[in-house]
Amino acid sequence: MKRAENNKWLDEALAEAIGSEEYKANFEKWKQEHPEAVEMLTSRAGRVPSAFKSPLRIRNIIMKSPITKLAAAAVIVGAVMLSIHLWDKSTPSAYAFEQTVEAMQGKRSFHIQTYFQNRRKDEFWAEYDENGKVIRYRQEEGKGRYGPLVTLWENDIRTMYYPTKPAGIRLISRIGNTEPELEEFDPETAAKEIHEHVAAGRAIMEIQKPSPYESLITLNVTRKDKPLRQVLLVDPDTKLVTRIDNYWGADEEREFHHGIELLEYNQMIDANLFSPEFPEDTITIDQVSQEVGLAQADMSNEEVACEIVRQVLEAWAAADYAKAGKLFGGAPPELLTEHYRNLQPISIISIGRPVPVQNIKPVFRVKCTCEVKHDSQVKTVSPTFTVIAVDGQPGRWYVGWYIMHTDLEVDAQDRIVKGSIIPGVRVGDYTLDMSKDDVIKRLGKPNNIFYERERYTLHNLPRKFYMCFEGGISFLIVDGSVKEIGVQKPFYKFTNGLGVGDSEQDIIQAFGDDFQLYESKWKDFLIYKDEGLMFEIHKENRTVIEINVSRSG
Amino acid sequence: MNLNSETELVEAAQNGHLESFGALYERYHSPMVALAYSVLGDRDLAEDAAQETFAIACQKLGTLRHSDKFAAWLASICRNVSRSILRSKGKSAAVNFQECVENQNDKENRRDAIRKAVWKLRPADRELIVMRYYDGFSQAQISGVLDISQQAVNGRLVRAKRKIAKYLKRNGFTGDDYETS
Repeated sequence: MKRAENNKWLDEALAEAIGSEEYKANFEKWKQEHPEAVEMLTSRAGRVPSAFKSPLRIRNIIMKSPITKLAAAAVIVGAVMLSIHLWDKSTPSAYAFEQTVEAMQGKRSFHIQTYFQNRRKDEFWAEYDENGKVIRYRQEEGKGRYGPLVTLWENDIRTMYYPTKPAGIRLISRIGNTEPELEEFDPETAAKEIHEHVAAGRAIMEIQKPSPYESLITLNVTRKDKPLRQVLLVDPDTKLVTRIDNYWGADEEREFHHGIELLEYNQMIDANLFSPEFPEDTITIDQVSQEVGLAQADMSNEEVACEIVRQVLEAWAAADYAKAGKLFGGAPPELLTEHYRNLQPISIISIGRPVPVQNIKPVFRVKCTCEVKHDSQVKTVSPTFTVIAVDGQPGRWYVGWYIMHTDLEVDAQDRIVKGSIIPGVRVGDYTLDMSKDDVIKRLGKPNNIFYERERYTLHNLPRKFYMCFEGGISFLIVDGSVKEIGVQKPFYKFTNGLGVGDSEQDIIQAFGDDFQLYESKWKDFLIYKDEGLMFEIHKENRTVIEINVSRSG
Repeated sequence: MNLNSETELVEAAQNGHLESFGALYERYHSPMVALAYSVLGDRDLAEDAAQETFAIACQKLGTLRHSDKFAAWLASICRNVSRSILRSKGKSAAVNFQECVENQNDKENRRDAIRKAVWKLRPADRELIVMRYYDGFSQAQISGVLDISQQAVNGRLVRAKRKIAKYLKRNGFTGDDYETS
């Protein structure tokens, strides 16, 4: 007997649990509450409605034509005949991966969520024109104390900001006439690449049809040229890929590394997502409407890096905020009078040799020593400045406003060091293998509990999950005990004084060259497997933004 | 002006005819509340999301390219609004259903179990189930809002219900319990 197939009781139970007659439409009330929207609509009376000439769902339009219908049918028939693998050749609904490649052509928009090592990373929306060129995109990266870092791009102009960060900084820059490289996020490209690898014999694809337990088609793609397995989930109705997960390692050691979940494909994206919203007191660094930084003239890259650091410190010391702001990439005076209000350079003691930042060129780090007045006290500090070529303004350089390695940048509260990071053993008082209950007893209720796509509460915990706490510390719990500790704030330091906020170079100097480097488009990861350490590195300023401690080996 | 078809209503509203927009509001208010509820898991927030959805739709109606896709367009706005609310609240959709409430009776326990089962579904299936049972929308209505065929709606509903039944069985709830409670 299959009650679920003939389940009047389930219909009734669902209606009882979910059903609602609580809210009824009341247009009159809605009109009163939304006068501006009503005004905007009624102001269109008599106007011809604007209509987009190019359809979003290009496939639907194509399929309205009998000729293209036949052509498309021929393509699909051909694709089926050439299919890599059929699960049942006698079944009319047999699936071939070519159907997915075909279904994912004509991309006009997508909305995805990326994952890295079982954590949510970026949420991403992109729109394309009929020629497949990017029109605009939105990226929400990470979720720290101030929510995600949002990047918007349209017409060569990129805006980066924290939507909810009070007195945060917004950077508007022109990234030149090059189309943004979105391959990392683009599910159409990913599907095509997989198809090419399989067709070229570089990968083997196994297809599992939907079952009573899994409504999606599962594709296992094993690469022959590298220890990589990709697992794709395909919607049997639309043939669209809904998820691509990448597992690295040999068979026994294979672990989930990163993945993409396709949330929407060729669906209309709300235009508001591409319009920046930020707090009123946000400081805007505008590199589009004004010339910024310092012209290189006949100086070498290294010479201009030193010169601009010298000039920015001198202008700042002289309270020439207009000049200092220009050298800080086009920042208004508020950057120095508000954002760095407690900091005032007095004199330069030395300017160090510019060090090129690996993988990102042209960017240099310049360490200098100077006297500053900080909170009314005169101190000698050694900040590191990042000197960057201005996007869209060839031959000009600016100083990044994020000043590293001074401890002057962070809030006073953040300077309190709560404990040591001992690789492979503990972070402060929290040791690997301690129980979940002990962690909660000391830190209280976690801010967030999650694993992969699911979120949980303390009353409904799975076997394996992450707990994140106020103060920038998180724990991976497996079977009730701590297996990994993550640090996102400089509250905890290694015994050599290094911690979150320090430079990648300092980490490599301290821990050596025996690391694995994983590069993503926006962040890099230094992995010291033997030490049980992973450092998440900010792509632009090359500082540590997170440290993960686990058992070594 | 005879405004019978939905496309006529949409085109009239695009030309500033407020009553036509009102007719669309009456038609789609409840489906949007249901759709938002499937994301937010909170009825009050879902109502707020639906109201905001129509405010945005009212302002952006001129950008709608295909008047016959109004419902799907509205749904995409509603999903985005709901996700924004979710982000701003810093909560997960299932949060209201995962609180452990003591001293519940069997009926309440079963209702909670059903909600948990629904919120364990993947988002697309959850949308379908919530829309079907929130206010009894027909498969044709759901098909229009979610922009998928009625056959697909039917197939996905069957599969989603199968998953829910399986989850409930694992947690000790069956049709027999329902009939006797």
